[in-house]
Amino acid sequence: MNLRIPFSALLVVLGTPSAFAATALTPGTPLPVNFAPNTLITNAYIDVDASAKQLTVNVAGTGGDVDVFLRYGSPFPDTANCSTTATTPCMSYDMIQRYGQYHSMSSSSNESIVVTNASTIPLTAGRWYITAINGSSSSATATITATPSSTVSTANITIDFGHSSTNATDPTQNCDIAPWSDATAATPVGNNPGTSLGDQRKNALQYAVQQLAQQLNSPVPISVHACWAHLGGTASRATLAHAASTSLAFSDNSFPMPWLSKQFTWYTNTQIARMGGTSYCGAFGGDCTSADQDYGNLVEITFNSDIGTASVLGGSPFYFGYTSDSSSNSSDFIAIAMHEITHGLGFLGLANTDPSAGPIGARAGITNGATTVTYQNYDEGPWDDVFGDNVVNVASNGQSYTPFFGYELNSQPNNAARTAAMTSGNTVTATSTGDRFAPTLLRWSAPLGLNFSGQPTGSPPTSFPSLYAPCDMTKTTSCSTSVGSTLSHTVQQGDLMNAFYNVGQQRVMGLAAPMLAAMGWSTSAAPAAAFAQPFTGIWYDRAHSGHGLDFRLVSHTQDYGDVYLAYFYTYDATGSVEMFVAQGSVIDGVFIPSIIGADGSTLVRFHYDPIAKKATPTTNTGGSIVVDFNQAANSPACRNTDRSNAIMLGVMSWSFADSNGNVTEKGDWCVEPLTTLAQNASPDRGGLYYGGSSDSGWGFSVLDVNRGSAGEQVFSVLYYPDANGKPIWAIANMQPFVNGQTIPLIQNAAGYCRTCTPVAQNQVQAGTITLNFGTTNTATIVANYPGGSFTRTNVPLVNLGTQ
Amino acid sequence: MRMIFLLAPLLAANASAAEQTAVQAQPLLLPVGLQTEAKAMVKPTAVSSPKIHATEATLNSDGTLTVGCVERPNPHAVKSPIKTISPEPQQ
Repeated sequence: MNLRIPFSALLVVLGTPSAFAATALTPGTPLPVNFAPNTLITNAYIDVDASAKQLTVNVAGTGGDVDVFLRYGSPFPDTANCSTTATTPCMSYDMIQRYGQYHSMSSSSNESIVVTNASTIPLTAGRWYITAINGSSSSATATITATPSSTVSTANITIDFGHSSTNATDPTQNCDIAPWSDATAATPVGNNPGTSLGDQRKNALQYAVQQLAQQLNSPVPISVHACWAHLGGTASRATLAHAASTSLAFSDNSFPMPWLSKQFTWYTNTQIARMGGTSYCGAFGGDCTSADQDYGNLVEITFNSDIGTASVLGGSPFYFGYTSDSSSNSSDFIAIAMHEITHGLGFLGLANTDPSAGPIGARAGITNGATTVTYQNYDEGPWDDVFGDNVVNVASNGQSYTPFFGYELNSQPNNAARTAAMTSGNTVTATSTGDRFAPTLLRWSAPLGLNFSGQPTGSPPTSFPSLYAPCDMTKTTSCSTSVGSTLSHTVQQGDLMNAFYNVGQQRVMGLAAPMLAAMGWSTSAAPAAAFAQPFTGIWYDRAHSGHGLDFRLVSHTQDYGDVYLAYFYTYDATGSVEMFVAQGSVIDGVFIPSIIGADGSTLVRFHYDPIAKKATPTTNTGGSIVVDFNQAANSPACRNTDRSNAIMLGVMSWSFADSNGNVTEKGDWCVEPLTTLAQNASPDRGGLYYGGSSDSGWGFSVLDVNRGSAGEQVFSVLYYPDANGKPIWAIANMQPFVNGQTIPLIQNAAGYCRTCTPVAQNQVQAGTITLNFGTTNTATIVANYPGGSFTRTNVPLVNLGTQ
Repeated sequence: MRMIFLLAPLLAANASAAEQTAVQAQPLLLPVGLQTEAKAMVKPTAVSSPKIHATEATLNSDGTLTVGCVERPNPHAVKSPIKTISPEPQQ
């Protein structure tokens, strides 16, 4: 599979595929591995047959910090095929993570991944590759075990009744665990056999999570931290309990989690662990025995220990029975726990509903130093969230609908439309079993087909279930009969996630089950994963016009698919032209380059030797590049200007670091191709040309476009060395193209640096190029640089771009 | 990955796991400036939820309870994003 890359040629010469090293695993049999500090084993593998519905990969070890990565169908990069030496290994932790479709990377050496036929990248018959890394400075010993199964296991929702904490300034934030062991005598109630208050409380919570677990059928355990606190209350009103997931995250080029079905989109940690088949710390890293990582708990729920005291709600108590509460003057503990924990499982819309936090309807972004997401003054983002991506705004006539989060620019958020939908319902009818709400214009984007009385029928969007949308979310009593929060609740009477609880609340998830299934909790077999397939050509970012990425397909290998050379033609800090090169494969729709420099750099610069007529890489540029072509339109980088008519998009993440590894500049750019392959002329002269192995270190790409009656257009980027051997570039563009006719070479008199504000192009001629396409392709070049010119006369060309 | 030059394979191809012989892991690149742990540069962006949901009960004049769920700012929000990004210049 390997490519031999004589970078001295600037352009590649392809090698022949060869086998990569691999180690077969026997199902269920541990493979022992000795890990020195900072070492890895690549491509252990397990063959899975068509009967398998679940694959579990476990690492059990001591010492060090062994992490495990898993991918289907094609192998991880392999030390057997790179320039590894004792001092300059060719693989980094980062690279392996990018190849991994699943990972478990806690700070211990005990890891686990569960992939099922319902996973985003589903378990499929064939070969699954495993790489394990000890990324610590200590040695480790570990075993790797892969176990396929024809059945999907169901894990429990576990409860952490420990890990108390106190908050000196705000006791309502305490986690008091003493009420779980309250010895006050109690009479068994509603099949709850507990004879003490503490036991009844614990039994009821365990019953609640058991009901959820049985309906979720998650193969991954979910842990809930259960607390009490004095949340207070008055004679007429009190908080009974509150809950939330312990963190949120998204997948992007900086920390890819390919198992999330939506990239660049917020998920709760419960969804991330569920879809990733791993634990909190398996997904994010860290120590799940520490408070910083919430002891590995994915949800935290706090009950009000003042409930039942005489001064609060007239002494109205919690009801702890397993059977539904038929009383109208007590609070159903199990229904409350199920409802609140379900919010923590991901039944949570992140669009802003708090006017003090920013515009109503705003999407969630990041502001440096903030302790949660922010809704204004973003330093990064904002991003959609997966709940909101399933919501639609229905038109006032009820006949049509638009996405709650549509394709919209960061500078032009459609907050107003979201606000209108979130305040579209206020008609309430009191019934004997609770309040009935009229349909709202804020709806879940699928008819869920559950058997509820009054459930909407008909064609979409009439059949879409409504979400709670009070007329004024900040004044909860103005239009509705009681409190309730918008967006993250249904209005289906009797449903678990209704904004209001009813007497005799059912302990079934109702609409929450299919809604959560659409957000990562599905147990149905998933279709094969589909990844973006970029194509050869010149790509650029509308927001950074003048810079570009010449992305050239140069090979296809059996094991690693398409191989590309990527020329990043750009400007340095002074606005002068400069360029870098990377080479790598497109793995699952992501361009992942090879490591060239001992510093891990993947963007390399060359130094040209005019005597030898070749260039050698200046490897330690500190540069890196990754281009993700999957769902790029979701990314903030692609929403800073209108790209709705783009042919295809990719997020090009680039960075440069100093010799100490400190990042000096970085960016996420949204790149798109100048043309499609279908627009290429016939015959297509496009390609990547250079002077052959005896005259390398320079070259040019050609984009050959059929412009119909306007004639053939040839667009070329010439890469050549300046007086100091530094690679620079110029552009030639001719339409209609006339073979053999001299074309001006163009440069900007003053470009703008990668992190500078774009400036208008000021084109000046920098020489000429004459292209002769025929039986033998030749070029004549006079390319200027300060103090001289790079010249070639009728030089024969080799085209790499057609291989 | 298609790297520069071939060296001797570092792992025995198709070694049988049934042999139960411990495999020796191979060197990994260390990040520049952090020459002790290869994993040191891994930085996810995990933040606290901005919202909690709270069940509120209201005691009605007839002695019954109305119970609803409300959304509130999360008082436990303590996790700032780990990575820090310098914003690009605004256009």
